[in-house]
Amino acid sequence: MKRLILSLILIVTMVLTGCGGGSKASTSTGSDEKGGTETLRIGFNDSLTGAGAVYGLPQQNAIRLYFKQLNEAGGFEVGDKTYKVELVELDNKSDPTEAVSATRKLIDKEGVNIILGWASSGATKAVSAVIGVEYPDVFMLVGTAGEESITADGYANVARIRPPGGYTGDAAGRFVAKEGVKNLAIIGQLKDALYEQYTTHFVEEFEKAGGTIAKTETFALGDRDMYSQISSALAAKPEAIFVPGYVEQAAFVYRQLRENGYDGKIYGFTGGSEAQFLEVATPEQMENVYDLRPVEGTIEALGDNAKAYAEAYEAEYKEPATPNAIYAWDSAIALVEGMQAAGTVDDTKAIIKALKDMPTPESVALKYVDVDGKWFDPNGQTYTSNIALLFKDGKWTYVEDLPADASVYSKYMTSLAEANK
Amino acid sequence: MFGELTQQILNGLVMGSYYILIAVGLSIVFGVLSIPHFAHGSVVMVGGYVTFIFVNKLGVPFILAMLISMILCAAFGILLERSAYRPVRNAPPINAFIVALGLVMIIDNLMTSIFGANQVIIKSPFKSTYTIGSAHVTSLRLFMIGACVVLVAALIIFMKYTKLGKAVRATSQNREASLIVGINTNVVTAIVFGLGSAFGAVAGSLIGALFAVYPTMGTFITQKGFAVLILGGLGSIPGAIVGGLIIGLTENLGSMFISSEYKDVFAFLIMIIILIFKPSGLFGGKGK
Repeated sequence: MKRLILSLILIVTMVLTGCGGGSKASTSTGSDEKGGTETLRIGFNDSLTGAGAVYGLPQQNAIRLYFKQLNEAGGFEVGDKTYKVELVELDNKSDPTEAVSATRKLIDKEGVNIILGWASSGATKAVSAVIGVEYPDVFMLVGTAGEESITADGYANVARIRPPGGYTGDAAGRFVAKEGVKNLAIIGQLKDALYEQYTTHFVEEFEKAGGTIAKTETFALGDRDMYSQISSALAAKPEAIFVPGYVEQAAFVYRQLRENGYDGKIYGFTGGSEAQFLEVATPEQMENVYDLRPVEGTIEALGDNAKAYAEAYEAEYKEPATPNAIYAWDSAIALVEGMQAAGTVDDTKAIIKALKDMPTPESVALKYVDVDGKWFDPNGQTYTSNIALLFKDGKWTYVEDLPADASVYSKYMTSLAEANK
Repeated sequence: MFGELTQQILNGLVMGSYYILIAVGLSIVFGVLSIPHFAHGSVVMVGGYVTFIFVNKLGVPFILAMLISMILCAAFGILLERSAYRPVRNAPPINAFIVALGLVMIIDNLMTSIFGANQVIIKSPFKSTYTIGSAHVTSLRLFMIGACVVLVAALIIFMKYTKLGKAVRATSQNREASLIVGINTNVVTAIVFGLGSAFGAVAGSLIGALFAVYPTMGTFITQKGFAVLILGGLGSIPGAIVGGLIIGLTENLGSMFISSEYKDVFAFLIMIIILIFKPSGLFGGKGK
């Protein structure tokens, strides 16, 4: 009996641990069905478990949905051929080592030469260095991960849809100063490069405008008990609190700030949706909370493409899309647009060049700010506008745009890339 | 300064209570079987999910759901012992070690496939906030301290004054001698696993309401639990109590006086410092 139970447990484990693997190995394209359609295999590497899953799973949903719609419509044409897409998906567990290992498996074993996904900055940064140096013919197109150096290390085969954190941090710092805040405490996920960079730029601009930082407290990815940081921050008697971090962690900071009797303004950089915050905090605890972020999936501030995407996402998954998922959606659009413009699905260098030469296409969901008339700047980076949202009556409401100069930031990123060469 | 100190001590007592609930379970298992029960964190996580199902999905009141979770987790703990640990009881210790790691992977993967990777939060009826001087504390946090005090007191009474408790202590001191005097050590082992897992269920339920439950939380729980256990002395219940409080308070006071950046480091730092002067832990060798 004991052996039977043990055997059953082992079988269950093997089945379960085998579930996350990719599919059969083959080259990145292959002939398909009756009508001469070919199947294009695209890699997907993202945080499907671990702390980054809160951003990675919605990215997976968006990319799956985009290619499902594309395949059901008969595929897409490049040159005289029609392609349908098969995704080869691996979970990087939000961990840099796992991410590199999954990437090597995707390229060396599964034979893919284009990889989408990438929500967690730490994992993405680790892989960009590997792909940039060891796999010059592989195209890594990043979705949500916002750490600056991902597109400032000078790798020609790495591009990103989401603007870097510092670009938004500059604008956010000016906004908070303009709000009349003079004395601010920071409780942030400052060991994470994205939030550290955003905060550095935020503080520079805030202090330039005459503000002072009363106290800086740090929490780690995965932390949920922030009482000690909150107690220290509140002891400095700040006028407002600034919270950069993952949505889950930030939501706990907001809830616990209110539990500690703090009823002042809170500014955050999280990219979280209403549903994600309300899972942790009550609508009352969320009142007077701002989020200072790139425009992301704030559908009211976007156009018809974004509305169609949001409706399709909700119909497919029975839940609203998280704000970051739209980056993944647009990354899939970028890939198809790039292939069609380059006239190839295999030559990744030609696809990247085509993307860097084109203005923002009409098919995308987000609103981008072109640099010198181009969607992707020479570093493979795109820029959107930034906005301030305020949580009011149970939902995020648009407050105003946060002005930022994409051309200036692009030049700054270029200077970093040149210094890193 | 005084206000912040009061708040940090209160924070430390809350987290200390949580660590005690985890470490007591680990401690009694180690005391009787000398098994590093690394899957205990996963049992805590399962306890949280059981309460989540009963409260959030079936509408059962929180405290009743927690009691059901205690019973189900006790049964789960006994099942783990019977099916996984008992077959390797007489094998080299490394076998139990590997079995424990295997159990962690099995349970964590199973829960991920059932519940997904995202966190869930247990709805709690404790929603008020109280102000004590300049410090704030929620009723759920006070309940955590109260539950810890009541359960640990009950455990001490059980161990000291009941026949079964005396059998557990006897087995913990000398398994062979206990067999000779007629103690059924298999029953004692089952009781120990059941009790430890029930304590774990309480910890999982309370932390699931205070913070969240998610499939990978077990690793962190086990790390902290063993830090408390080693600090207090392996297998010692008083050690687990004092160790839990020391770590809870050190984390919070360290954040206040040094930096919150190293909050998680303080637990292990204080453990190392104490082990330098008392290698068997604070109550090592005396607490059984």
